[in-house]
Amino acid sequence: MRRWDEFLGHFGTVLLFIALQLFCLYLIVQFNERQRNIFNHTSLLFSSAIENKYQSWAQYFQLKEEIDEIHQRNAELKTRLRQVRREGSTDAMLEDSLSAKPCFVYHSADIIRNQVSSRYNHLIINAGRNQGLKEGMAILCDRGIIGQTDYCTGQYCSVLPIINVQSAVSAMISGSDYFGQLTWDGRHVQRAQLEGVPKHAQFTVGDTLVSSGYSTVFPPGELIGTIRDFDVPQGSNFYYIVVDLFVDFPSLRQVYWVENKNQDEVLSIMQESDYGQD
Amino acid sequence: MVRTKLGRIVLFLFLLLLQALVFRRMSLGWDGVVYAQVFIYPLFILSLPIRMRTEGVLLLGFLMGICIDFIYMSPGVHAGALTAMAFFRRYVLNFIEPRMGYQISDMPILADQDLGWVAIYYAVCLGIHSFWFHLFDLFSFQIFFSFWAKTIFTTGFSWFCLLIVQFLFFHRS
Repeated sequence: MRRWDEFLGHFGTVLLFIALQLFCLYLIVQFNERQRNIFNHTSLLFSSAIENKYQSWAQYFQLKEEIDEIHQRNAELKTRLRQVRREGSTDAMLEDSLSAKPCFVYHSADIIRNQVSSRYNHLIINAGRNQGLKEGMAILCDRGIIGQTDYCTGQYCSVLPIINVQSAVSAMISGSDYFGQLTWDGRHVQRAQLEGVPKHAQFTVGDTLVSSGYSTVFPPGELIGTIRDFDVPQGSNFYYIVVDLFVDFPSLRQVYWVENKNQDEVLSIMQESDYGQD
Repeated sequence: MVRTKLGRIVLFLFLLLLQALVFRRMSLGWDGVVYAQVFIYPLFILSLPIRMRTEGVLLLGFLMGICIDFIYMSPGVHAGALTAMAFFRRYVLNFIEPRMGYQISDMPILADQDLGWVAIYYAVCLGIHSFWFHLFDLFSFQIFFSFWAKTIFTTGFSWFCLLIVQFLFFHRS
């Protein structure tokens, strides 16, 4: 209370002055036509300027959300695109395909840990069993294939990327239908090797590699890279092809994980027919 | 006249009437713009006792200003200007305090102070009043020349008229 008195003793006059001035300003703006017009005009100018500034800041802080949303939307579009392609591309069938159940469903996720310096590189993404992720699902990004999941927890999932020496992905030379195993020798994060393409295959440097679709993991036709160099080793019947990867692993941020709705069905057929026993 | 409460009330009403009936009609200007008006009502605040508390001066200034506003049909403009002058009066008085200091019973009028002191005191206070008045009246910084011309001319004319009023009514007989 004493403090309050002291405060009033010091600043009471100033406060009274400011209060009276504000009251006068209120009267002026309220009851004088010309001043009110000026006031309204000026306040409109100021408020619109402030609103503008605020909008641009707010948009800046919402960028992350916006990117996530766009990514999500992209995943949906990719799913639909693949579905449409599978059903055929005529207009009549397009309508049916939109209601049909898709085979490959794309979902978005963020990379929360990214390692490229080792021979046994791993990524971790922020989606897991709770989102429906399982071991052995494809991980892609907009530029192409990244790898497949190898261990999942409830919230997170570890990914075995192409640039891990233990990785092997079935890849096809686009347009020629010859396919082989894409592996990595552990040297260059931008370069992988394709083995198992027979000697009589026809292709040139610069041809594109896509996923073959001969596995239950990757959807067919996803980009991998371009052929940089190739030769046939002494005494071999297969090409040894060096591939430039499309994906820039050190700068990865956001990925898609792909759910194959028919995976269980295909796997059960493979088990019934003892596929791969020999 | 201004040393007692009753005297101040009389002065209040007298200045109000004088301003409304006489000085409201006095204005100078050209090209249809009024560049100088004469305000004598600040004399009420100017002649309050030197040692009076500023809160009281402020409230009286507001009261006087709002009464003038009813005459001029401009709610808030004169009241704001006069409260501003009432607020800064203390600082002006401190600034022009004579070397000997003020006597307890001193009034800021020609009867107690010399002409030079009164002239400076009136000029500065009327300048503040006029500045504030035109700030609230024009309500814009766009018309720069007009603003300063009005402020300076109004200060000058009001100052001149107030000194005459001083000589007529408050001079030591």
